[in-house]
Amino acid sequence: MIFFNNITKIYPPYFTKKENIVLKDISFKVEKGEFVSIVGRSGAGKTTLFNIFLGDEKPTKGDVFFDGQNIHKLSAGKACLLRRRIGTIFQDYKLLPTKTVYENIAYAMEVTGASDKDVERYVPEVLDAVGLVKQALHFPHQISGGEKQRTAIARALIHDPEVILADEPTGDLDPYHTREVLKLLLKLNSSGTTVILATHDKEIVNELGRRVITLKDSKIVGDSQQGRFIL
Amino acid sequence: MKKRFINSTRRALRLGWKNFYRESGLSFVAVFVLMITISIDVLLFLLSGVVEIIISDIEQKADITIDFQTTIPEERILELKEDLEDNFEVNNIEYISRDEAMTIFIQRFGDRRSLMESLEEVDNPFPASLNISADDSFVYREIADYLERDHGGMIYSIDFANREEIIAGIFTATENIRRGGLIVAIILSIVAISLVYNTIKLAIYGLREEIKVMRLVGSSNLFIRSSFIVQGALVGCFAAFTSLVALSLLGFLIPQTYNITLEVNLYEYFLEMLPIVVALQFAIGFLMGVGSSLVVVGRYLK
Repeated sequence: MIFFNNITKIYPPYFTKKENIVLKDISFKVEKGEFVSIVGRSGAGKTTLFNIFLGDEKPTKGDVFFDGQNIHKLSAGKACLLRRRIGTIFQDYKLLPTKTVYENIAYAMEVTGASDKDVERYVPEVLDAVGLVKQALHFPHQISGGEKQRTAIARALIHDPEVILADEPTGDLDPYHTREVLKLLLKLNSSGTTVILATHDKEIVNELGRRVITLKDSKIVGDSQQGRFIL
Repeated sequence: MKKRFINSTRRALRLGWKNFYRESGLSFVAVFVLMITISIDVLLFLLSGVVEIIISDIEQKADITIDFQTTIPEERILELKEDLEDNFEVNNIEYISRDEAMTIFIQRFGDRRSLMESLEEVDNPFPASLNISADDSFVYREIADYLERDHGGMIYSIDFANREEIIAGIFTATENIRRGGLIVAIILSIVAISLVYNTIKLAIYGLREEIKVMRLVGSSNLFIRSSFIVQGALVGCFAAFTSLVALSLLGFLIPQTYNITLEVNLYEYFLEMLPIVVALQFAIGFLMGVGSSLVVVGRYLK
């Protein structure tokens, strides 16, 4: 379903004379319905990998395929259709600051052309699922980090995507909500959604007991089914 | 398909309106700058109209008169009038018969008894004449040369030679005013347009991260553009409305007795031009608001 083929990402030197190699010769496949954790220390290139998959950044070398389509060779129109098949929980939330929690979640449905009736039906359901009913009319600057993260999660799930990219989705959550989010991701995965989770949280990875891809020094140093956090 | 289009349009209107009022500080600045631009453009338009009226009035006064020998029959003069109208670039040729010339004289000097008494002593002494007005002074020179060369026997006098320099001076001056006005209008319009463009650019520059997020969650370029088009159109319409209010207040302060020329009153001119001004204000506001949004958003969508 998803194939990262020999991906290298090098940022040109700006303030230092040395170029910054973030990813080097990264290759792996993710099959439909898999739950994969990508682990590595901060700065290991997990977010860059996600950005490349979303077409937000171009790799210096290599290609990414989604259902046989080379993501970086798609037209703008096809790229947006592809992104609608992906739900992304961004590490920095990326909420729209001038929209309320409700509107942020509804926006991801509206762009797909969903009817107002469906939006009005499903958004409150998802708000309830992530415990944000009371914050529905608040703007991002009026809610806590954890609530922002849950809003980002709700937005990623609302349009029932085929793939969920979760970049440190529990970073700002308390243990209770961390567990709830993991339960939610596992539930979605059990119903056929592919989940790719980027994290540096050892406990989460070990508890999941699913496939783990380990990044270190810009390279893949481990890829094991039912893996553990080994860094 | 139709339902989807209606749905998308309604969403674009709703999102555009929400962006407009939620970013009220930004909208206020954009409306204010665009209002200034629209007002400058409309004032230039009105001013150019007033200047054109004054210039035309001056140019019309710079005409020439050909007096004919009193023995020349009216038919020949009218034939010559047609000949001139057909062969020269004239604006207007007015024929004044001998009887009309006398009537005009009596109307003007009827209260001077001595003049009227001497007039009774003689047969109508006034010559028939042609009053010619044209857009360019060289036409007068051509007509004067032609008449002296081909119809010298009919002509009593042409009041051109003694007025030639004045007429040429008037035409040069009016042409310079027109050209200068056009240059000033173009410069001011460019300044105004770049002011609006840069204000909206600054406004949307702050939204570039938002545009990026919209794309990452799967929004199409058209969907993103549409809400910004609505926002731009709203800025344009509000700017046009405020410009209209400001200009109307200014316009109604014009003294109702102030005349631009003998025939044209400034206040009446303002009222006459008001529908065009309103259309112009909303057209400029809409086009500039929408155009600037499209250009700037387009840059971030590349």
